[in-house]
Amino acid sequence: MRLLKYFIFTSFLYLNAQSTVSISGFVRDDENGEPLGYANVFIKETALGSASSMDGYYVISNVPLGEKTIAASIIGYEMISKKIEVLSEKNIRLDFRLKRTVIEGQAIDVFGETQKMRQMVEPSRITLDLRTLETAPAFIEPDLFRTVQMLPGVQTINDFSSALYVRGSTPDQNLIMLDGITVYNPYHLGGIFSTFNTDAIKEADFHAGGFPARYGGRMGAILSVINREGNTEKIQGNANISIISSKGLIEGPLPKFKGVKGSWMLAGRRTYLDKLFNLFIPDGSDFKFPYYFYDYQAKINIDLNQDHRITYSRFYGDDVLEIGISNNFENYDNPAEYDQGTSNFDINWPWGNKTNSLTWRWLISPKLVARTFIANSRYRFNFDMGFSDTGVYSRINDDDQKIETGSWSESFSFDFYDIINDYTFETDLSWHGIDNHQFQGGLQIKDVQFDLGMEFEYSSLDTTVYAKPLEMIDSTREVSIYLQDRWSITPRLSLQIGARVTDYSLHDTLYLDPRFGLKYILRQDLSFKLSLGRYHQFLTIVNLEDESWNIVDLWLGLPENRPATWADHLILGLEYLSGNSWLYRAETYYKHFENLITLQQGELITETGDGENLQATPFNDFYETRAYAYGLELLIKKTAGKVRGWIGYTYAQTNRHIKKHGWYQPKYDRTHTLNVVGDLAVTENTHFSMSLQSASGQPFTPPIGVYDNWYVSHNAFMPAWYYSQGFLVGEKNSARMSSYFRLDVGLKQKKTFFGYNYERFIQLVNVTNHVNPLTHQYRRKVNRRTGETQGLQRADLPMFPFFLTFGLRIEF
Amino acid sequence: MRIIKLNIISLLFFSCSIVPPELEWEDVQSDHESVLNILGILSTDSLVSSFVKVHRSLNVQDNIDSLVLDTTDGIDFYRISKFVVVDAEVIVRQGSNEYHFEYSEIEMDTKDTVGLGAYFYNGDDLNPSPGEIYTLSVTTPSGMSATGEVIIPPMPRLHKEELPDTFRVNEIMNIKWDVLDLHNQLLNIDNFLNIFWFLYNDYGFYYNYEYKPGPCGIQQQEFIYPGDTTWTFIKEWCGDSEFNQDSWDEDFLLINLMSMDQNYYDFFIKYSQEGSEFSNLYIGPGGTGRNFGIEGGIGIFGSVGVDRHVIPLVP
Repeated sequence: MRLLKYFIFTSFLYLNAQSTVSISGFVRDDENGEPLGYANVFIKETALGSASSMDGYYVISNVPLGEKTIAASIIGYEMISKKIEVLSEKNIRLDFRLKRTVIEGQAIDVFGETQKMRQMVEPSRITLDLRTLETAPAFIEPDLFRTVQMLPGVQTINDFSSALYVRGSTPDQNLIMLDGITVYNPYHLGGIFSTFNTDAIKEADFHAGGFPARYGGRMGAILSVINREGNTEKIQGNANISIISSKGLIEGPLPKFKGVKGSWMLAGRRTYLDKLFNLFIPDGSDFKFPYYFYDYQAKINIDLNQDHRITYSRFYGDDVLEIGISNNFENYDNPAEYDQGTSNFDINWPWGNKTNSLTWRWLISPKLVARTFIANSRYRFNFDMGFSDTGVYSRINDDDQKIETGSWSESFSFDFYDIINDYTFETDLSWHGIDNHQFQGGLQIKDVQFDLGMEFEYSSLDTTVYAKPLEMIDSTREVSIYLQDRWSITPRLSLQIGARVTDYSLHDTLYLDPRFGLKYILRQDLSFKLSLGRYHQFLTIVNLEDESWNIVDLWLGLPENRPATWADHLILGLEYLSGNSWLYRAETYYKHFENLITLQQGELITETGDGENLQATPFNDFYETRAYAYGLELLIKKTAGKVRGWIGYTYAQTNRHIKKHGWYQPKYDRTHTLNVVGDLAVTENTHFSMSLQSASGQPFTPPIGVYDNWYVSHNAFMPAWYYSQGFLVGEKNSARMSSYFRLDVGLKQKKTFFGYNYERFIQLVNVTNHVNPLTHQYRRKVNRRTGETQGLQRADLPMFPFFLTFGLRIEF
Repeated sequence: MRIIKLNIISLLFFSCSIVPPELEWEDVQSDHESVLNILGILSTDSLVSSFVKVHRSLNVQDNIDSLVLDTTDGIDFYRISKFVVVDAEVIVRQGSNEYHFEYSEIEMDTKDTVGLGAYFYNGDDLNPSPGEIYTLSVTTPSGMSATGEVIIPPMPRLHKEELPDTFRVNEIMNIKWDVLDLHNQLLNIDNFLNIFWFLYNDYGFYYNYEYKPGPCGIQQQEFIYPGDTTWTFIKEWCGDSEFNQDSWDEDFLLINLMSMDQNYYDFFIKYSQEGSEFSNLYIGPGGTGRNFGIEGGIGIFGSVGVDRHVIPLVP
C-alpha cells in the first residue's frame, strides 16, 4: 500500500511539473480536412518528433523554450514547416494542413512507408487505403475483402465468398469493425461482396494476428475500417453507375455556428439487377427478379471546440430476397362441383446489418486524450415463408341432392430467424505523459442479445396451430478492461506490453489476456518483431463446418456450460525496406486453439447429459475441438513508382481435432498460396493491372467404398429391416481437391472527349479458364448395354470461368 | 450543393462473355479393402425369425451388380447384387451350442435384382432367452471373416389385463408394461387397416384406401427409457377434415412393445444418423461404417423381443 501511495504521489507530481512545453495538434488534408495518420511531425532544431495517430493527432513533449521550426510530412503530401516561438511554459496547439503533391514522388512514398514501419510495433499489420484497394483488378467493383484476401496469411474458401480465413482462424474469429463498431455479417450476396462501400472508406487497418490489448473478444484477426469524415471545406460528391449497383457519395462541411464546426458524409449503394431484369419481363407475369441489396453510411463530426469532438456514425445494409407467386383458379369441370379460390406463395427474406455509434473525443490535456463511445450493432436474418389457399366451393350432396356451398381457408407460415443486438459502451484514455511511453487503457462493456428461433403456424377457418420448435434466446455481457504501454526503451528497442481482463456474464471466471510485443531495429531499414498473447472469445457461429457456401451466419453466445474458447499467438517477423521502395516482410507464426466448438453434423437427435433421454439438437450440440496452426508468410511489396503491388507467399498448416475424427485439416486449409497483385502505369493515363492467385487444393473427404446401409422401420406389427446403398468415406478431409489458379487482368485508360474526362477499361477474370473446384460432382459409371454399374466417376464443379467485362466511366 | 464529379460506368460494362470450361470426368479409385457388412438379429418373438444378412462392402471402382442370363425357365435377365455374400459359413453359438445358419433366397417379384436373401436357422432348438450371451461367427471362402456378440434383452410384457377390451379412438388409454431398469423399449401403435395398407401396397395388392379409410392420428410411436412405467395414448389431431369414422368398427388397434439390446439401440436409434454423416448432392449419404456388436466388419448383431396386443376399435 505504501508503494502504491508513493506511485500515485510521484505520478501526480510528474504530471504537474512542466519544465518544458508540449506541442500538439492535428495533421489534416488541406483539401478536405480529413485527418492524416502516420504523419511525421518533428522539430528541425532538435531530435524531437512524433507521429500522428489514426485520428491525425500528434503530441511532442518536452520541447525546450526558444524559436523552433516544426515540420510535418507524410506520403503524397508536401512537407510543411512552421516557425514558432516557444516563449513560456504554456503548451502550444499547432495544427497542420498538408497539400497533396501534384505528382506523387517516389522518395516521399518510401518515406511514408518508413514512417509506418517505424511506428508499428506489432507485426502482421497492414494498412490499406483506397489507392491500394484499386490496385488489383476488381471483380465488377473494388472490394475491401477481396483485396485483403490477397494478403499473405489470408485464405479463401471459394470464389463466391469474401470471408477471411486468417492463419487457421475461421471468419467468426475475426473482429470486423466499421468506425469502431462490430459488424457481424459483413457480406452482401451470400459473401460475394463485402458490406463496405469502398467509396466511403478512408482506410482499413488489418491485423492478421498478435494484435494489442486494445482489441479483444476475438481470437483471429482484426479488420478495422474507418470511413471518411467528410469534407470540411466544401460540398462535393460523386456517383457511379454500374450494371450491378449504383453508388453515390456526398460530403461537406457543417455550417459554422458560434465556433462549432464540423463535417458530414453520406454514401449509399443499391443493386438494380432486379429493376433491369424486370424491364424485360412481360406484363402480367408473376415472376420478378427476387433479389437486391442496398446499404448506406452516414457520418457527422461536430467539433464543439478544439478539445471536444462528437462523431455520429451509422451504417445500414440489407440483402433482400422476395418471391411472391399468386394464382387465382376456378374449377367447374364437373357441373356438380365448383371451386374458386386463390393460392399464394411468398418468401420474404431480409438479412443485414445496422449500426449506430456516438463517439466523444476529449483532449483533456495535450498528453491525455479520452475517447468515449456508445454503439449498437444489429445483425438479423429473417426467413419468412408463407403459403395460403382460400376459396369457395359448391357441391351437390349425394344423399339429398341439395347444393351445399362453403368456403375454405388455409395458411401456413414458416419463420426462421437469427437476431443479434450488440450494445457497446467503451471509453479509453491515451496518455503520453512519460517520455518514450504511450499508455493506453480503457473499459469496454458489451451486451449482446442472441435470438435464434424457428416458428411454424398453420391456420384454417376454425383452427390455428402454432409451434416454435427452436427458440434459443441468450443474453451475454462482456466487461473488459485493458491497459497497454508502448515503451521505446532505446531508439532501437520498443516494447508493447498490455493485458486485457474480461468478465463474461455466463461464467464465474475472470479471463486474463496478456499481450506482449517487441520490435528491435537491427538497422535503419531492417527490424525484427516478436509478438505473443492470449485471446479469448465468447461467441461463435453455428453453421455446419463443411458447408461449401453459407449465405448467412448463425451466431450464438458461448453457452454457460462451455468453457471460453481461446487461442495463443506467437509471431516472429522481419521487415526490410529497401532504398528503392521495396518492402520485404517475412513472418512465421504458431497459433494454438482450445475449447473450440464444432456443430455436430447429421446428429439431430442425441442423448442428454444424463444418458437417459434423447433430444432434438439442431444448433446446440457440438464437438469439442482443439486446433493449431502454423505457417510462414513472405511479402514483397512495391510501394511507389510505375509498378506497384505485392507478391505474397503463404505456407500454412491448420489442424483441428475432434474426438470423432481425430486430427484433420479443415476445409479452408491450403498449404501453399501465392498471390501476385500489380499495377503498371504504362503511360500517365494507362494502367495495366493484374492479380494472380495460385493455391493448393482444399481438403475433402473421399468416398472409398460402397455398401448397403441397414435401416429399420418399426411398426405395430413387427419391425422391418431393409437397406439402402450408401458409400463409405475415408478419414475426414484426407484427400485434396485439385489446385486453385486464377489470373485476372485489367486495363484502364483515361481519355478526354469534347472536354469530358472518361475512362475506358476492360477486365478479364480467370484468363486461363482454369477449373477451380467448388466441390466435386459424381456420377455412376454405367454399362449402357447391360445396365451394370461399373464404378464411380467425378469431376470438379467449377467456380468462376473465364469472364470478360468492359465499360466506360465518364466524369463531368 | 455542388456535384463535382459524376462517374458513370456505362451499361456496356457488363457486356460479358462467359466461357464455361469443359469438365473432365475421372474414375474414382481407392484402395479400400472389402469388409463384411452384417445385419444379424436374434429374436425371442415367434413372429420374427432370427436371421443374419451377410453383405460386403465394395471398392468404389468395383461393379456393384452383374447381369445374368437365366435360361432355366425360358429366357430371363436379372441382375445380381455383388454386395450379397451367399456362400458364407454363419454360426451362432451360445455356450457349447452351435447353430449353423443356412442361406435362403427371398424372391421378390417386384424387384429386378435378386440376391436379397439371408441366413436362417432351420432347426427348432434356437430359443434365445433373456440374459444369454450369443456369439456370431461369419467366414467366407474368400477369407473374409467377422464375429459378433449380443446379450439377449429381457422379454417385454404389456400389462394386457389393464387394457380395455374394446377402444373408442377418441378416448384416452393408459398403457403399462413391465419396467426394465437397463433396457430401452419401443412402443408402436396403429390400426390394422393402416398396417395392412402399408404392408401390401408395395406388392401390388389393391386396397382402395381412399374409399375405405382408416382413422388418422392412431399411428404413434413412443420410445421408452429404462425406468419408464406408463404412457398415455391420445389420438393425435389430424386436421379439420376427419375421415369417415364409420369404418372404425371394422378395425383393430395393434399395440406392439419391443425390447432391444444395447447394440440394437446404438445402431438403429442412438447413432442412426451416423450412417449418413457425410452427404454429397450427387451420390447421396455416406459414413465411415458403423459396427455395434460386430468385430472385424461393419454392421450390427442385435436382439429384440416383442409383445403385442390387439383391441377391437368401436365407433
